[in-house]
Amino acid sequence: MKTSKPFSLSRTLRERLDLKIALAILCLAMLFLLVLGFFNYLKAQQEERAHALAVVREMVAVVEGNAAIAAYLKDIQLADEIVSGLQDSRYVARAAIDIDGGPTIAAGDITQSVEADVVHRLNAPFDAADQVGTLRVYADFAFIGQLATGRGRSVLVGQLALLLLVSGALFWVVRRVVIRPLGRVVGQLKTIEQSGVAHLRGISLKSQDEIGYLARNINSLLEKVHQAYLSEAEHNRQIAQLERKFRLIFEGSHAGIVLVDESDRLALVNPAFEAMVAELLPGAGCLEGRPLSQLFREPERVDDILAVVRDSHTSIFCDLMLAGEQEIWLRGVFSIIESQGGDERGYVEVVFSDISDRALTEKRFEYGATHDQLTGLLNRRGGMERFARQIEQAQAKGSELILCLIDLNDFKPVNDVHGHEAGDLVLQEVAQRLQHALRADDVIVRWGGDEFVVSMLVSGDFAVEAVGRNLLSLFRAPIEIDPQTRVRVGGSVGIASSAHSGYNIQQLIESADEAMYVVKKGDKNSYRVSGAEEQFEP
Amino acid sequence: MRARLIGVMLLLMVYSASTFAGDILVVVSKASPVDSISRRELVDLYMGRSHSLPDGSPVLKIDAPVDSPTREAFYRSLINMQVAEVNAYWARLMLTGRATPPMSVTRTEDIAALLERNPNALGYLPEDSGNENLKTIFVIKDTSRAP
Repeated sequence: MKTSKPFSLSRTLRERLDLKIALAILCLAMLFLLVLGFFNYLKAQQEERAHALAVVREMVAVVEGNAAIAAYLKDIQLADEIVSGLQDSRYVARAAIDIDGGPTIAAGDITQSVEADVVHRLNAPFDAADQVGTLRVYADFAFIGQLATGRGRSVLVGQLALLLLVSGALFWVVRRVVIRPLGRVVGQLKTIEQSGVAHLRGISLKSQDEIGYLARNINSLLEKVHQAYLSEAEHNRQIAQLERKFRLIFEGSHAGIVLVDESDRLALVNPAFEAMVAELLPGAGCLEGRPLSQLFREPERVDDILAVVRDSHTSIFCDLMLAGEQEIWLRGVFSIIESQGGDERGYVEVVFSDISDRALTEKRFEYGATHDQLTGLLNRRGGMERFARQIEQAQAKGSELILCLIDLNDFKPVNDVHGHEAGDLVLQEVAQRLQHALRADDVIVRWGGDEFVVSMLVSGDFAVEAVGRNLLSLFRAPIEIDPQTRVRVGGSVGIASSAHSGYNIQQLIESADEAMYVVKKGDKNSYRVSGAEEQFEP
Repeated sequence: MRARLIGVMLLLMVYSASTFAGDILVVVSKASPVDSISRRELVDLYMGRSHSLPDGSPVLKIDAPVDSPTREAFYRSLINMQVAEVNAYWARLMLTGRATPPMSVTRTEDIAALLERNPNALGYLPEDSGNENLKTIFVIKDTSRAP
């Protein structure tokens, strides 16, 4: 049951344009009417007065002859009849005839008023030059005022009626020409708002005036809005679908996916990643906001990777071990997020996969693959990798890199006389001596059999010779096989420098090999620098 | 109106030979103390304003017969009114009774007889009807005559 609101005039007026217009017209017209009515009233009064005076003058003209006779004959009775007759008129208050040389015959009290409204000179009937009396008439202005008021009022009433009529007509016309079409537009607009996605119903209006134009414009506007709404809705639907898919990937992925903000803190993590690091943070629910690096055993490495990724805009692939008791390895792919938007600037996306088992085996395998089992030095494969890196370093710094190939002299006899174990001991001893003699970042490789290769960065003119001499000095001391047995092995050293061979590992190795070969053919226990004239001896 | 016009025309025809032309004499008895009278006094007497002669003696005003050309000429010359108008004037004043019209005679000849007998009487005659027993106190010039 719809409850009807109590009628409120002010609200009705506020909501109804037609009433507003009608009221405005009425108010304005009332104002005009008041002003106009006032002047009309004044004019009516003036006119009525003038009219009354004219009437009085006419009456005077009518009785003039008789009055003149009465005055001429001094006929008081006749004069009295005349003034009484005049006074009978509604326009006349008082009248009097002054007879020259006779009495004044009056109707009404004439003593109080001094000036008569109409004063007429009475001439002798048979001699116009001879004045015989005066006729005085006093108009009844009270009555004239009444007449004027009545006329003014009737004028006012007529105008008021006209005004009401015109207002009503205007109200009707405005209602018909403006309000009803507008109301139709508004009504149709209301139904359109509620119709939603359904087929758009335009506003139908026949009028050709401004309201029709408005309706047509609204139609085209509505059409555009509707199109925009439809495309927007479609767009939103696609976005929602896409978001659902992405969410499925993000939430359901087995890989841990995290988003790192520009201050290296976690901005977003997926459940898989939370599960990966769950052991590190027992009970602590929220990962977002923590620095990513703190989750790993080598935080500075993580920070480095993040910095590099941001600088180079490349993806970096890296295995990292989580902090904590257990050895858990995660393989992470770090990628910068290329976004136009300002908010995600510097964000890095990392996808982690748990490679703990694989990492362990790989580590062992890699170690075996790159290291010599006997001496613990790098093997040839491992050495080649390190050389490559070292060359890059040298090239970057612009420093000289030397590569020395060391071939043991008199090693075969040791093997043959004292057996393979003794040979192994000799090799291990040489390896140890090399490790002690050289710096940490120098690369020492067991090149194969009784051959060793060391490479290092050097500076200075005589550094190469110093290195050659140092290497040769390693062989001076005899090697103890067992407490009773000591053997002595020598070394032939061929040295290649990047100064001559360039930053090319193959070329360096070949040059060093050639130099060593020269030494081997010569007097053995000495060194030779490739490209140099002389062969140096200790 | 038309009848009246015809009447006037008939009258003119009847009196065509003796159509009044000439001055009118205002006359009194030779025995009257009045020797002259002004035109205004004459008008006032005949129109009812005065009831006595200038010297204060009572007066009897005698009018010519109603239809006589003399009467017609008298009033036309004196106050420029037709007899009918004068009659209407008197009729208007009948009711008040303040003024009385002159006494009218039935025949013109009676005027002279009345005047001779009554020294207080006043009358008028055409200029050609001279009478030694009467004296002229005022002459009304014939205004209709061409100068």
